[in-house]
Amino acid sequence: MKSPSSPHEEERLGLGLVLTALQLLVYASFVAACSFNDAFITGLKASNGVPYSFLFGLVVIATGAVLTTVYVAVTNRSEEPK
Amino acid sequence: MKNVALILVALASQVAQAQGTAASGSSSTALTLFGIVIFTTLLITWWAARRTASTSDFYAAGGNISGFQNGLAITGDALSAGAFLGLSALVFSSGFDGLFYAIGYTTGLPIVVFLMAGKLRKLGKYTFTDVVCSKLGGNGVRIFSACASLTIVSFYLIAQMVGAGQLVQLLFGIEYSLAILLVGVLMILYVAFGGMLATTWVQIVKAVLMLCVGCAIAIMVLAKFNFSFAALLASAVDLHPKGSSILGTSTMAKDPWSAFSLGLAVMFGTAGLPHVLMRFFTVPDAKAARTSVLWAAIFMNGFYALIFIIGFGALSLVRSDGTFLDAKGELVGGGNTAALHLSRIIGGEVMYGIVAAVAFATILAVVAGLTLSGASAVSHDIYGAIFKRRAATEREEFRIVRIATVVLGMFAVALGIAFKGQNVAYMISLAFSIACSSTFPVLLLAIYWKKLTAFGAVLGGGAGIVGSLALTILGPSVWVKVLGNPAPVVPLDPPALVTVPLAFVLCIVGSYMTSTTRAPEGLLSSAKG
Repeated sequence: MKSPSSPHEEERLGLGLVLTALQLLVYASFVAACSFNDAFITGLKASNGVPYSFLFGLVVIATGAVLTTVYVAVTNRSEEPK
Repeated sequence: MKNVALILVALASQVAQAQGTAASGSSSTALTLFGIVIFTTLLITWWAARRTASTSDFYAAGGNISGFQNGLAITGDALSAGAFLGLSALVFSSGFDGLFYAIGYTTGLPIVVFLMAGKLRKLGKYTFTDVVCSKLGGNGVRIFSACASLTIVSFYLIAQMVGAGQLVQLLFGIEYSLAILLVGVLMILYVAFGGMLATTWVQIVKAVLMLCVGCAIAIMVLAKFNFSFAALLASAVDLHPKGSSILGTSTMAKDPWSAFSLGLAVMFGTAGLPHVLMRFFTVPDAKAARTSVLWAAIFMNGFYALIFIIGFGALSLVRSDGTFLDAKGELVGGGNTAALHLSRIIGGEVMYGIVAAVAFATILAVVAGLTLSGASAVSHDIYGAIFKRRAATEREEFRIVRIATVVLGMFAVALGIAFKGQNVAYMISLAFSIACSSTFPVLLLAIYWKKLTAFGAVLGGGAGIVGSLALTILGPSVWVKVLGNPAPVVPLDPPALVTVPLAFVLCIVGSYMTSTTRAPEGLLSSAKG
């Protein structure tokens, strides 16, 4: 088995690492907010009546789907035969 | 097959007898749909058995599952009954705490696709052990990987079987041991005869049902509140004894280290679960593997977002209705019944029957995936590759995997009965901790770090397993809740925050201590057809 060496594969690894870091950053920020932010701890609501903790939670869920879509679209397109 | 039919007829007659004397709240609609689920899944198994003729068919459905189908199957595999009934029950009792878990579970699959899915499909054949062994030589790492798989699968399977016994007993009025036996026999039939093809389609059917039911419940709940989620939350706050604190995150604030540790376990644990990783070998190529994660992420994340509505809907409507609460304000039938009672309130007996049948299908789909994964570790990784020194014929490996399926199924039934009435909630957490502390670091480093050696992998992965087990036993989940001690020796729960770095560090240290050993080309397959 050969290690990934083509420019495309290196590029995808870079993209994968960047998106992993983004996902980790968003989720770690959410956990940190739940642990240390008073607005989250007390369940403070936004103007629409939904607490900030819920809204950030939905952002985490959406982020996972969006980042996955970006990665799969870019990587699968680069593998299509020309 | 005749013997199997006789066993099923005998079991069905005992189930029917049990129904006659059951005092549970089972309805005729629920029982009819229960029968339809069993009949449909057995029909799928019969269809799949006619198309399963080789080890490739058995382990990986011949690699002919499409990306979309595999996405649905991953959804079916990952959304256990605990994800639906357990999380909605946690929201019912504690509010946002349940959503914290639901949100965490959505972060795992993206990591799988960013770092692994395509590589797994390119490097492996039937199991993740193939991928590790494609980079590292020697039987030691193969035995380690197979044992890690079996450990994770065993804990996951015991938790599912105990939950299955309790749930089937409650839903359909069947005695606990009989319920376990019924689930055990069905999962053995699916896997032993239909292999990956039957398991995949059982998971697809279940995923579609679960997504449809989840959407229907969420819409019906919101309709009660003029489609205002804020109004639903306001109603929940008014009805819960803890008031507005159910919207807050005080549980996480009390123990931030455990909150981060849980986050780490659910995020990276998914990338180490053997039954999820095995799904990437069922598609034709790496492109389809990635596409399958995309669909799974969309379906799963969508379902977990619905838990926001279903959980708080249960909290509000079941508490305001009051019919399904006992004198202490607890749920009638046990903690995991919030979504079931909710379905009865908003949709009557028909909706209750549908949700009960979907919950049963969920159990069957998840245990089938786990059993297949465990049996593959025994037959493909241990027997085929080691005891037969990679000379097992396809026919022989086929026979062994069926025997392994039956033995694993019997083992699961026995442990399911042995753990009756015991608190096994920690076992899922333990499975995730072991996965993110053993299989995940070993797999990730094997794929990307050229200096990883077999010794390093076994040292780091082994430390991850031992550390997870020891710290979980000494932690709140076992030391306090199971063994009854007043305070935990190790307060961190789960221990991933310690065990994941430990595993990575020891993998690296162990690798630098030994020279690199690469596997010769062509040793991926154990079977010589």
